[in-house]
Amino acid sequence: MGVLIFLLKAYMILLMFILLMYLIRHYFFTLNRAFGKQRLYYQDVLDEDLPTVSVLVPMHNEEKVARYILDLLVEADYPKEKLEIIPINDHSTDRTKEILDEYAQKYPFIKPLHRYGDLPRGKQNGLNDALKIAKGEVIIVYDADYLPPKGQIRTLAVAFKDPQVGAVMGRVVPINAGKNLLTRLLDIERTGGYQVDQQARYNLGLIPQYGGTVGGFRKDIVIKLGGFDAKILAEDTELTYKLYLNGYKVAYANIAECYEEAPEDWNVRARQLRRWSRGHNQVMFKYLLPTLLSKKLSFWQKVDGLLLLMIYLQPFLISLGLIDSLILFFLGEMQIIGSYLFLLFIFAHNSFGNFAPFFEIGTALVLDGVKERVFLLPLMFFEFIFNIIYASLGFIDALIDLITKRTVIWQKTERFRNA
Amino acid sequence: MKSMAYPQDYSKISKVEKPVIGYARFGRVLKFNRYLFLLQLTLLLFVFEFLVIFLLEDYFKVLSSITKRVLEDSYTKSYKFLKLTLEYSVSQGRLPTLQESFIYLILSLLSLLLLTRKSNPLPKYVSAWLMYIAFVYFVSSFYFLLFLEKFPYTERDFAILYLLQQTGVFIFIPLVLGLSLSVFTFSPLNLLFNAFTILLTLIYSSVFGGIRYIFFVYVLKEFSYIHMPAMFFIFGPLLDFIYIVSFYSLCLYMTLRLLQKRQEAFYQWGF
Repeated sequence: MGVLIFLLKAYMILLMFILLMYLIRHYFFTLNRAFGKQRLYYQDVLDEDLPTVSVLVPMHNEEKVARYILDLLVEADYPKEKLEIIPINDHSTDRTKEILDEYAQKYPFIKPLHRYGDLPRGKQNGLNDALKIAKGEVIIVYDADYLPPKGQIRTLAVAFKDPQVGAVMGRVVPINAGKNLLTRLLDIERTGGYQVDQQARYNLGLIPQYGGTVGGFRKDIVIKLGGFDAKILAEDTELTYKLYLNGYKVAYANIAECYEEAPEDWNVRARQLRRWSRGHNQVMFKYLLPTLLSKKLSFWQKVDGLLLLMIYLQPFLISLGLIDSLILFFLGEMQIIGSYLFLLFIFAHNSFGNFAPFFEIGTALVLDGVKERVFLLPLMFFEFIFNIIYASLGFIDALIDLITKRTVIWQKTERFRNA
Repeated sequence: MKSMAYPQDYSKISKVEKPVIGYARFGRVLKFNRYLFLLQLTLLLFVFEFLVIFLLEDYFKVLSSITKRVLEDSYTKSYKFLKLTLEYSVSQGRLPTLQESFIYLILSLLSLLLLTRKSNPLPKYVSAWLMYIAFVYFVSSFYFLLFLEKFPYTERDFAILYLLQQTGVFIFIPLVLGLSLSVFTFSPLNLLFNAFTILLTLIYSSVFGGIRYIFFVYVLKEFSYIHMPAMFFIFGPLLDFIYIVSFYSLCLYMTLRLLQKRQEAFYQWGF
């Protein structure tokens, strides 16, 4: 029994240490973004010799949103002779195919890729196929529900004038933030995640994350690195690590804001969160050791890279921590409970990866100039257990993927726009 | 070029006319006063921590006397914590009967089964919380059903555990709020607002913590120890965290509003 109690206590202390590391990291990011020197993005580069760009738009049953993004891409302020748009129709069974063909007939630079039959489904598979036909030197990716502003392709593409840049990432802003409690909470989370977290990591030369949409990458590098792993659901996180481990970097463009449609339904959000967690943890299993041993990364990049990899492991560790403290409680170890329970909750609340801590979001909201939204901060409490449950399930999925080597199936996020 | 999309509400991107063009949000940082930042950190943290430690014995003495008045059958004891003597009053609690444990076990198990069903109509975030509550009660009732005699706590242990937890909350309020609110250094008034917020939070916490303690002791006396885990894992520090963040939000909002009226600048270029 003594050994069991020792192990349970040791786990609690280890968990506290891990969560404290995240807390310190987020606080440091907050200070850096709040009043540190900001790193310039490449928006000031004015160059007529722009790279050729292929815009890829993965789509699976996107009839509700397809027209919006295509209209906006058609209007894009980028030389048309250097631009092609490849909507990837991935086994759609609704009117997506007809809509894409209609646009392709009207605009010659829209070249849909229809994927049917035996071709495996999934964003990563669609991107791999599209890379084979894309003519652009630079690939820009938008999810189908995004509404890119007119000059954004240029803003993103210009970063590749820096030969060290392997990928670029813009800022995601929910357009339906005011719809309900969930969209409001997701909106303030995104604000913290991009306005503070991503920008601070970019400022500090750490690892800003390529997020798979409102972003782009060099085609030749990605092809050279073997494309996207068909077994990994978080192709964006995987690319981030692939690039850094091969000496490239990700540029973060806080100026490149793009509207997205945030999930309006908790069931949809639960599935999305579980998929993100599963994909991210798959990347963690694959890249934890290479990140640790890499000679291309600096010490602080390794620290940040490891913490970033473990973000979706945290909820699972916290669940174990809660069970651990319940067991300790019934074993009569009241001292450790009295001392640590408050710490456990406060650390757990504050160290959730892209579910940023309250002070980080508060600072981000002030930076964004939306002071009324700070009243939403206490309501993040509603998400606490929800996030722990669904992110933990995602971790378990990834663990089973690792053990069984099973084929992963992409679950598309449901859209809410009225077509 | 004519849009091929159908008109709908997402296209209504509001156009706001502003009298002054401010710093664009992608590159602005907060107006920063290094001295005010350090002054706030030092004053908010040290002054309030000192205040908490200084008043801790008196707070628990007052709470103890109120408890004694409310719960007439309670008795008074004290607990040595570092060099402090913390007084408490507590009524005798009771163990649950086998029937009680069994009823709670069945109820929590049924709740878990219903909540995990696909046809559950409740929003998922509500279900998640209810599942957590049901899980804690399931573990608790299961334990009392099988190991009733081995339950390691008495009402005195509970009181001491609560004392320690509440002390932790008091100590962490200045730390959490001090560190997070010191970031805002728009005006010397920030120090005043932030200090007032921490003071208000501590007052709220002492009232809320006191009422909660008396209520918990009453529940343990009337409805048994089966509720004790829920008192720590559901209605304990998690609830404290909600009002701490609420006071942070309120302070931030009021600060920005008041300073905006005084036409204080919030931003500067970060490059």
